[in-house]
Amino acid sequence: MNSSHLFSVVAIFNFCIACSPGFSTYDVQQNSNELSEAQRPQDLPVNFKVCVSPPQRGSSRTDVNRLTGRELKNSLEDILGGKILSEVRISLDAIPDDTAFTDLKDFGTEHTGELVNQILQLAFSLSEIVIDRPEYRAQIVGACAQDLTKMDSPCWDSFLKSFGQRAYRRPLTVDEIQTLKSSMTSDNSESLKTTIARILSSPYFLYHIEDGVRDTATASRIRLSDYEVAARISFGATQSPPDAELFKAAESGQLRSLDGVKLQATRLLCSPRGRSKIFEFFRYWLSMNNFDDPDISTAKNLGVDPVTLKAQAREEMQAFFQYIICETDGTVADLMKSKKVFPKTNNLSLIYGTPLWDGKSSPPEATHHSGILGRAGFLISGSDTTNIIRRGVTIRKRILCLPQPSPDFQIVDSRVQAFEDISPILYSNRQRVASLTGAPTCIGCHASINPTGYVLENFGPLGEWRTTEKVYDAKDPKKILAFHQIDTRVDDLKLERSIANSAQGFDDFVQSISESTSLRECLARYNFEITQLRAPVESDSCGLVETLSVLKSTGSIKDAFIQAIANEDIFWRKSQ
Amino acid sequence: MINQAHSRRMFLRGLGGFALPIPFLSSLVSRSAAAASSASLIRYVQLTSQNGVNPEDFFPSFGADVKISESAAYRLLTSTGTQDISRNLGRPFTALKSKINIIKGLDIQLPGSGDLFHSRTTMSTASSQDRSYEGEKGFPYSIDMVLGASNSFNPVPSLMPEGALRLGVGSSDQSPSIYGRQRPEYYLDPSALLNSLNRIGSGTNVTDPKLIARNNRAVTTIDLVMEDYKRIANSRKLASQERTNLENFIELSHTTQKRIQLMSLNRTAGKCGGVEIHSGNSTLTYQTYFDLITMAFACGASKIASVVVEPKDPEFRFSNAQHGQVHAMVARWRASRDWVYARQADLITSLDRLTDSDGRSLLYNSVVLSCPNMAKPSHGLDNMPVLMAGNAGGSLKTGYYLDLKGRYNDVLITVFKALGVPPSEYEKYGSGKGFGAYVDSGSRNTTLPVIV
Repeated sequence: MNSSHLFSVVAIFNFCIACSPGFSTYDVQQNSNELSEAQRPQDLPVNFKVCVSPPQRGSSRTDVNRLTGRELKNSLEDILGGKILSEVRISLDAIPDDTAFTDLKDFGTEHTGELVNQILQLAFSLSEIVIDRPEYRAQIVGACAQDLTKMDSPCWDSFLKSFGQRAYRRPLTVDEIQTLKSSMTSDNSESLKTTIARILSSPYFLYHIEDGVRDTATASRIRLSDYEVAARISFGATQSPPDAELFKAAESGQLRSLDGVKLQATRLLCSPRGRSKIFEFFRYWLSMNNFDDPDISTAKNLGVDPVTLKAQAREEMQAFFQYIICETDGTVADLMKSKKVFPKTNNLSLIYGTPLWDGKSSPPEATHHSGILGRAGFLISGSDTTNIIRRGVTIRKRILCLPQPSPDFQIVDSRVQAFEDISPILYSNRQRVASLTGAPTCIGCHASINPTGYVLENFGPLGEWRTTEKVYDAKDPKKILAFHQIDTRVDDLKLERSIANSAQGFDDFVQSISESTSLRECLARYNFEITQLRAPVESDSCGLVETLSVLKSTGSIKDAFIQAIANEDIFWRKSQ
Repeated sequence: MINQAHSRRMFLRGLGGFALPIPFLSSLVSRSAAAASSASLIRYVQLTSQNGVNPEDFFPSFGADVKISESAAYRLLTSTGTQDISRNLGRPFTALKSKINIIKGLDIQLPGSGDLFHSRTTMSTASSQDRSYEGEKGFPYSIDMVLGASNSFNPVPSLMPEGALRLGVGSSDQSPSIYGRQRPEYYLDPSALLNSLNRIGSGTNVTDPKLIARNNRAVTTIDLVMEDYKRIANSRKLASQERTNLENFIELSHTTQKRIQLMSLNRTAGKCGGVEIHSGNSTLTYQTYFDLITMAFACGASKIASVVVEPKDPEFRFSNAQHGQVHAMVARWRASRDWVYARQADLITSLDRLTDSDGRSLLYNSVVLSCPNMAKPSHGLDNMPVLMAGNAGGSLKTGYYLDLKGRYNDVLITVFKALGVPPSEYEKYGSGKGFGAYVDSGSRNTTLPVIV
């Protein structure tokens, strides 16, 4: 491994910094929106296992967030149809989905100048396409607009009501229809283009605006309208506006009860867009954007194509998540322990040691590769050795939400050469990492990070199962310079009090953390964050407790995701 | 002392972005006419190169025959007929004599010495060095960045993420642009720049009547959209972050609207779109750069361009690190400077050939300032080789060779004045009157004689 490669691998993760080992306390941030600096408590830790302040449930939502790029694209597709959108594919693709981030702070809640320009230009283009092409005009405006010179007032009213409702995700008020009509001129073509562009640029289309029902307002919160509840359900489950069935449910008052909400959330969760949303959750939770590309020579040694492997491994993970959540209504334990694998290519078939999967029939079962931690995508290292530190940090920080400070990059830098100096011929990767991180400035964190990575050492740098570690000659990749026996036994995991500190190896470790409370809390928290694009605050605690309760009782992830949407909080927002 | 209290917002504005909303909004809503009138046509181009020139190769061989004071004389360049101005300003400039000015005798004055004297890339754009400016030694604001942040000159910041067209330098160390401690990116790849321009809608032909109608409709629509946003802001009580988000959208919509209006104003230029990427040697690369600049100017995508003109071809290349070897490589050195100025002539000619929306040429409606980062390879900062072109829409006269004794800062002040930037907008970057680093006392907001 060359030094720059090593640096790039370790520098993104924690490495050599003094930290206090300890057990996780789940922090729910204090909502400081209404507090002055003087009043604000310092990072008030709240144990989210306790449901506090029920009268304020749902009162934490205050911000008018913009639609994410993905939500915007799905909305446009639902309003206009895929065929019209295909006419502006290039402009549409230029708008980022806003999903490829690993930290909440990476998501910009405000529009940038470039994005506003793109959105407005897109609205102008679409309005022209819709009106200038008779077939699209008939589809969007109605048959009454076939001859624009004869378009009458009822035709306008009908168009504004139907198009407006789909865009604003609620019926338009009489005032709003009058306002839109007030800008009409005698040129119906121009007026329609202006109106469509205006609606597609409206804050009611581009933002999650929730006016609420005025006479329900208390000092702390206001109840949402049925249509606003419908929008929360659909965006929460599918990153999309309400479909016809959800509109109908809102119209008929079915969404005033949790049962009604739950029915719709259940219907949507495993729809095609619901499945995409599920994958977005896992991509965020597992920080999949930071997963490595395989090392080329290592891949070639194993007979694997290094160019396509990462994408294939990612697709395999997506299939796994869908299988666990939507196909089998699996539990958290299944997520960690299931040996079902989904290799559609020879690359993955080789790594998992199973036959190919045809994408339809029952998936094969691997001998060793269990759950998330046994996925090739998770295990692939960007170098010719396994990345013990990255594996350990990802498990602790992302999967279990254990506190993990950022590394001191100066110390990291100083240790890179030291790693090079520890001979891979004489020492195994585990021994080298132990030696590298044994200094007093490092051991504070690495005393817990390293063992969490050691237990996965039976999986090689591409995720292949192995019982010995082979050291290849960099000049002659076919030549093996050394063999090291794999040692996965650890006795100082320091995960949580209820989990044993020792493990004999991977299976033992997986069994332990599949029972972990931290794991379930972490899953609940990241699901909250990716759905609401914010960290939870104190008044969110009841919803989190309920989600956690499902994860602890039935263990069904699907039920937990539904519970995260369909709880009392969905009916409320903060009163201004 | 350098005033470094300029915000990130100002930097972003200089770059064309808006990170933060401004207090609202009555001034922004219903404003089409005001926006149109503020959309001035004048543009600014700065051309820099590295390592200076050989003064005998750059300055005219003829003298300045009209003396106007002890420290100033001039000559009309056209009075020299078809005679070449100098070796560097050879044949391509003969046809441009009435459209350029050459200024001799201006010095950059720096406090201190030693490393401070080791010229940096912002010498000609900030009249000072950039990197070792701890304390009061340097002046870390270049004129292009200050113009980008100027409400008077640039009321409609470019939507390009980079804020302006910045081309042709490989590392930020060599960038002539600086704003405090921040330096914008420069493009090396013309394709990437074209993609960026296309993303903001400048690759299309605005002479198309349908597009003109669309732009007019877009301006109207954005008026209506802004009214819708205002209605929401007035109809319900918004939390501060909610208000911030909505106001941010309005401000950015307003910027888009003004940019569309600017494009409409410039539509008779008829040069939007159609740029082809040429590659193969540095001359072709720069030709593409210049095509992109003229297109972006014509389409209102940017009012500011900054180009570092240096060849990469082996027969001309003269790297920054080689400036101590001029004596050993003098033939290549001189040929390399000839190449640099031939390319500058290419750009000036391109701007001159294009008709702007007011019937004048783009060059007439521009100010081009050319000056390398040092006077000569020895790091000398006395007698900076200044070339200017363009009339700033009538504010600047051209066709003169000026032989002066004075400060280089006067060139920058002249540019600000020609571009309509009041002292209040550039003096806030320094410690007092004027712009850039000064060592002497006395009047600072002085402009060049004759041409203003």
